[in-house]
Amino acid sequence: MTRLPRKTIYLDHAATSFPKPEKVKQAVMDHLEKYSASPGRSGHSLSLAASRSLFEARETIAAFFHVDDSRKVIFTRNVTESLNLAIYGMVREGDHVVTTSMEHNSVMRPLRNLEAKGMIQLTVVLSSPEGLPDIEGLALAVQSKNPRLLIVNHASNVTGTLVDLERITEIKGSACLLVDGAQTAGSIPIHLDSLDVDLFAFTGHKALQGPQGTGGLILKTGQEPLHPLMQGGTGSHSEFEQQPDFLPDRFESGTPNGCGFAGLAAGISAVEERGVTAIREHEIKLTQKLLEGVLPLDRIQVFGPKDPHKQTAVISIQVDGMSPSEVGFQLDREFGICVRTGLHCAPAAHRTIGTFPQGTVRISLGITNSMEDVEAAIGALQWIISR
Amino acid sequence: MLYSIHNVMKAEQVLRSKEVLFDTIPVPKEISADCGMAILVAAEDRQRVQTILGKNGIDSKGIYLRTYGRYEKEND
Repeated sequence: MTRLPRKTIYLDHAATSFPKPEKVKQAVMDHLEKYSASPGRSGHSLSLAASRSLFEARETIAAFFHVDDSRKVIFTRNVTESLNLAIYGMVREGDHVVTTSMEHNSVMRPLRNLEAKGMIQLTVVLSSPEGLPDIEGLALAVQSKNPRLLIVNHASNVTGTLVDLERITEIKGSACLLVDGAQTAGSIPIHLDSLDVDLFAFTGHKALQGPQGTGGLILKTGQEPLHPLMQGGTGSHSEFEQQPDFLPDRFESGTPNGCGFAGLAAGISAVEERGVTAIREHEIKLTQKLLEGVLPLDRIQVFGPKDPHKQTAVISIQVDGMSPSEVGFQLDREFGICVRTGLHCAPAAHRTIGTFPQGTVRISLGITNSMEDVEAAIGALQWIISR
Repeated sequence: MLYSIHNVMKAEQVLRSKEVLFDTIPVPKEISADCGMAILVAAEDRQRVQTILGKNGIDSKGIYLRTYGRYEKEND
C-alpha cells in the first residue's frame, strides 16, 4: 500500500511540546559543543562556563515564576521527580494527605505506595464529572484531618480543567500546599510571589518548550522540612561525607542535565518573547474553534468544561462504537495527526469523568499549532465518524 | 570564601553589576578540600565586597588574605 508523504500535525502538546523553538536546539548544541564540562566541580574555565550556564538557567526560571531567590528552584529531571521529591520528602509516618480525584499517577502512585506501607492515610476528594475540584470538600477534609500535604494539579492532563489556585490557598489551613504545574507552566501566567503555594512542581519539556529531562520543584521559603531523594556529590563541602544543608546543593546530587537546562533557559526566553498572556489567548482561540467543530458531531462525546476559559488547550473525546486507540490509529495513519489515546497515566481522572477503563482520545494544542491544524483535526474526525 | 558554587555565581553577577574587579579561582587547598570556587578581590576592596555581598544575601565563610602566595584567615 503506498502512502503519500504528508505533513505531520502534532496535537499532543500535553505529553510534550514539539517541535521545539530553534533557539532551544541551538542552546543545547552550543552547550554540547562549547562547554559541556562538569559544573562547579573542576575549577577550570570550561567548568566555570558550565556553572554559569546552569546558574543562568536557574535565574531565568526564578524570574519567570516571580521567585525572589533562585536557590529555591531545585532542578529535577521531570515533574514526576519533582512530585516524588515533594511527597516522599515532606511526609512523615502517621501523616495525613488530602488530594483530589483528578490527579496524575505521578501523584497517585507515590501516595498509594505510602498508604499501602501504612506510612500515611489518604483522603481523595471527588471532583465533578467536568474535573472541577470540590473546594468545600477539600476545605472540610483539611479541617478535619489536619493533613501534612494538600496536593492539587493546576490543570488536568485529561480534561484540561483549570483549578482556581487562589481558592485552594484560602482553604489550605496549615497544610503544605503542593501544586502540580505540569500542564500549566508556560501556558497560564503563574506568579509565585502572589500565590501562597508552598511547593510548585513543573516540567521543562511541555509548554516551557525545553528538552526532555528537565523539570523542577520551587520552594516557597527554602526552609521547608523536605528530605532530599538522593545524596551524593555536590561539588561543595567535599571534605564531609554528609549531604550539605544549603540550597540548592542539598537537593541536587550528581552531574545535572547541563545541555538540557541550557535548552530550557532558551525555551523560557522564547515563551517570554511571545508572552504567556498572548500564548494563552492563542490557545483559547484554538480550543474555541476545536470545540465548535467537535461538539455538534454525531457519535462524539466531549469531556471537561467545554469552555476554553475554564481549561487549558486540552480536550478529551470518545467516539461511539470505536475504541480510543482505533480512533487515534486512524487519525495518525490516514491524516498524520498525532494525539494520545487511553488513560493518559491518570486512571483516577478517567474514573471521575466516567471514561474508565476505555479512556479517551486526547487532543492537546500548543504554540506551534494553527487554525489550519484545528480544521484538519475536525475534518479528520468528521471523516472517521462517517465511515 | 562562599558557600557553594551557586553563591559564587551569584557573587559574580552582583560584583559585575557593581563593576568590582574580581577573579574566580579554585578554592586554595590550604583553606579547604572543597571542590568549589572562591572569589579573589584586591585586598583594599575586601570590606566593600563583603558589604555588597551581604546586601545581596550572599553569606561568606570568611576572608583570607594572600601574602606571598600564602593564605591566612583574617580575624573578624
